[in-house]
Amino acid sequence: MAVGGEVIAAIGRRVDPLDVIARAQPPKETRAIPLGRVMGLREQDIPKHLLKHVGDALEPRDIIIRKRINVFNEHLIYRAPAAGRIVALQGSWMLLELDVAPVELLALYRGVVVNVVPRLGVTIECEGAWVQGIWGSGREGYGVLQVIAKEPHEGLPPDRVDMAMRGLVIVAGTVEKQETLQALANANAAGLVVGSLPPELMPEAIRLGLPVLITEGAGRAGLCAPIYDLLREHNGNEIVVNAAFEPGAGTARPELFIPQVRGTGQPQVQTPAPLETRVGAPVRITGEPWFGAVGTVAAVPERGQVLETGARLPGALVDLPSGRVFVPWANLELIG
Amino acid sequence: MSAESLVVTDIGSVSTKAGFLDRVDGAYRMVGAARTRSTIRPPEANPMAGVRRALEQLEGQIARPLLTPEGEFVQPEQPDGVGADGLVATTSAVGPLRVALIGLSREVSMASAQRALAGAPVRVETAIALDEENARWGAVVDPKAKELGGASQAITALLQCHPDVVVLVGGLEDGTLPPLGEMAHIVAAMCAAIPPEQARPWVIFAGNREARTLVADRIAPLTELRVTDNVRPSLEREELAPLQNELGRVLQETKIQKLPGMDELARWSKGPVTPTAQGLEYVARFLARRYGLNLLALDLGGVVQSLVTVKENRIIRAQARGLELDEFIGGRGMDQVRPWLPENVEPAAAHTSLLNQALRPWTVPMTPLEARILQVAQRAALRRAVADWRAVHYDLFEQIDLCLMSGAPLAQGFSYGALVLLVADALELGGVVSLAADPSGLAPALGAVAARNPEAAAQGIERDGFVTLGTLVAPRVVARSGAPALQVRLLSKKGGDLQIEVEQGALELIPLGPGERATVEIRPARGVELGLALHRGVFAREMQGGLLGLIIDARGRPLPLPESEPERRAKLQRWYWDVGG
Repeated sequence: MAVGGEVIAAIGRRVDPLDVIARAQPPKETRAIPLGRVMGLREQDIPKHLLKHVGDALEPRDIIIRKRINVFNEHLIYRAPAAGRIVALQGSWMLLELDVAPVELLALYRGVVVNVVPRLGVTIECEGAWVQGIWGSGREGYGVLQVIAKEPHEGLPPDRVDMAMRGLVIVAGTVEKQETLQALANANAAGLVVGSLPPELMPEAIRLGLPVLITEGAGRAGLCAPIYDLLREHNGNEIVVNAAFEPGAGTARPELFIPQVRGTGQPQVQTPAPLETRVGAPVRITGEPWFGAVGTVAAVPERGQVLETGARLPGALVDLPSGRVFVPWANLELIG
Repeated sequence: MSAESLVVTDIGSVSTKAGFLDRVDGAYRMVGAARTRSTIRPPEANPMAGVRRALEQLEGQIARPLLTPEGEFVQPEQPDGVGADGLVATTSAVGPLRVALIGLSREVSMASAQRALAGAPVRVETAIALDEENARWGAVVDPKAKELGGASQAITALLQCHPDVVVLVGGLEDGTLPPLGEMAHIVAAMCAAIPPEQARPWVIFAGNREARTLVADRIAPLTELRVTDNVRPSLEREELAPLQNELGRVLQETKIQKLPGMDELARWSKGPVTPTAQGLEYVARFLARRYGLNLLALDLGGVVQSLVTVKENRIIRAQARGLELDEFIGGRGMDQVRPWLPENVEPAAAHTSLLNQALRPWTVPMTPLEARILQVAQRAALRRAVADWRAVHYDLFEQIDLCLMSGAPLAQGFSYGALVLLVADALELGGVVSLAADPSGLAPALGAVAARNPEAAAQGIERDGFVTLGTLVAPRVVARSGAPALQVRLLSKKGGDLQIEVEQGALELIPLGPGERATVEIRPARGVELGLALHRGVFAREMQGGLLGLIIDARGRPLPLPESEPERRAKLQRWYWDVGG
């Protein structure tokens, strides 16, 4: 959670995606009150007029401070503008935190709580299929996976969206029209996973509040084949789309997760081998002119090669269906 | 004893570089340089993976192991030649400090503080001047009023911006103290409101020294307090460097040292990792002093652009952000880029390309078109930074003798011609300026070597830190477009005599190789103003050659960009071709 609160889930507890694991009461507003000027008091006289003190909870219109102003027992008072609490008094400045509706943190992932970070959240251990994206619209979604596209590059036009998509996470190669995003939002789809979106549709996805995850990048490229195949294999299963995204160093990428549902006779989830840069390693190219292409490392030249731009850079020779190409390491992603 | 062999490494937000400095024939030379993707971000989320990969590449170049099989750096250099005597590291990989600035007076202390912050690794989230609050000092506020005035709102803004550092400034020396006490109360209240388990911002006080005790009494019990010299001790004087230096130290302690893996790197380097901007400043100061030049050093980073100018022993630092991802998602980024697109680049394709570049900033362009698009974006970002910098220091780019260029464009494969065009256009450099580039990205790290081995630093910088590109001659030509403007005569030391007529609006590259010098005479055509000192109607000076030679830029300043989009794009394309881009 972004603000400290109360963690409800304990270590060892099995959680489902929609379980509430923590709650917080984020402050809507922190209000600073210049009590000295408001009440016409010197700094050193303020404490003796206080009726509420640092740490005290407040209800709306609670009297915080009171000063007698004449012999007729009339008083000047200052009331709390809303519910909250007094968090600080420094000199003549008092700070109030005013409350708003509580925030609930859902588990989102099906698994077991293995660690609790006091007041902030938990770590959940889970098993399943996991795919990292490159951009997300900032929302979270949970639902049933439906792969609409019959092949990785197939787009989703607006006329194929209908109300039966409610609660589904839709997978398509790409979406090219704003009307498709609007239709998905109107249908209350749980999310959208695409290989790419045109740049002008990315702010639309954010504005509509639709959880959208992009796996390749901007433009009109479809899903890469391994991701498409993985999603097709799990068509109809439960899926989580965590499209939270914040650019910058040290930030996790958006991701989707398809939990393995344990039951009698189901095989143990295999921990994948670490990805290694080696001949035969499957890779994805992340730059033009082969953006999104998937191939295998054929050889690693000892010296850097000269690109069409004139730059000499280290990299690998990659076998694509169209032939063998040299790609600098910076433009290759290991996949597996 | 000075280290004889040194590994230098720089960790950027996009790429990690490593070089090897060793004695060759009695002088220090950089005998190898390597570059790899930085591993600050997930999945590694630890810069040491990138450092190790860069060292492994370096091992291949210099045919000498630097790491043990377990990946540990070997130091000192072993009798069999394995390892090196030391390692020096710089980094620009951390984001800027988020700063809230509070001062007494917008026009006095705040203005000086803003100038200091413009040259520090910070992003100013909010700036509060107490002399602007609605409830003026000493006035009684109506307790029935729903809004309590500007001060209250300003403090709420202060709380909501979650700064890393709060900078307090104000009070001329011998000035009044109570307002500073009030300011300290405000900041103390803010710190007290933050629960102990959440990080409280550090506070730097750079105001009236007589208020130090007052400020410390209120703030020190609540959070880390640092005190520096008054940024505005009098109306006539300001001192920017102490506050800038303290912010650099705070960046190191709160961000650099806390990056995962940095403690290991600090152990390898036997000392803290230096900010890249600081290393660049060491280089600039050394070269300016050594050759008696007015010098401008630019680091065109992937995320942050920074510069240092050294003019007559006055040092100015400045930083600015590059174009960021959310600007391209929102389309604001393309508004800045579109005017600079040449004719063979469609805006929609450029938008897609730049957005993908922003999503994966470590990637490099593999086609000339992608490289061109990236150059355009870099130019737009630099022009915006220049506008911000000029607003604070209006004469920043005047009277420059030498311009050093370092950073991302070189890593991304820009041609030197494209790089010079980018910098010359964004800065609108004028006069006669020598140009040099840092192809390895390690010049700042060489600057940081000075603390360990000054001789190695000096020789490394002079011999291998930069490649000389040549000399830019950009007179302030005022003439009719297409008309003959300049008669240029090149008298080479080797004995050649070359004469060229340059038209108004033209860019001419004249061959003059690395190490060559020539006397250049420029005679303006009748009615043409040059903006350079003439003797008997001729401007003459000895100039240095380089990889590009002499660049005669007769386009004029400010750059004459046509209003019509097709004409503008055609002109931009021609200029690009003129410099061999």
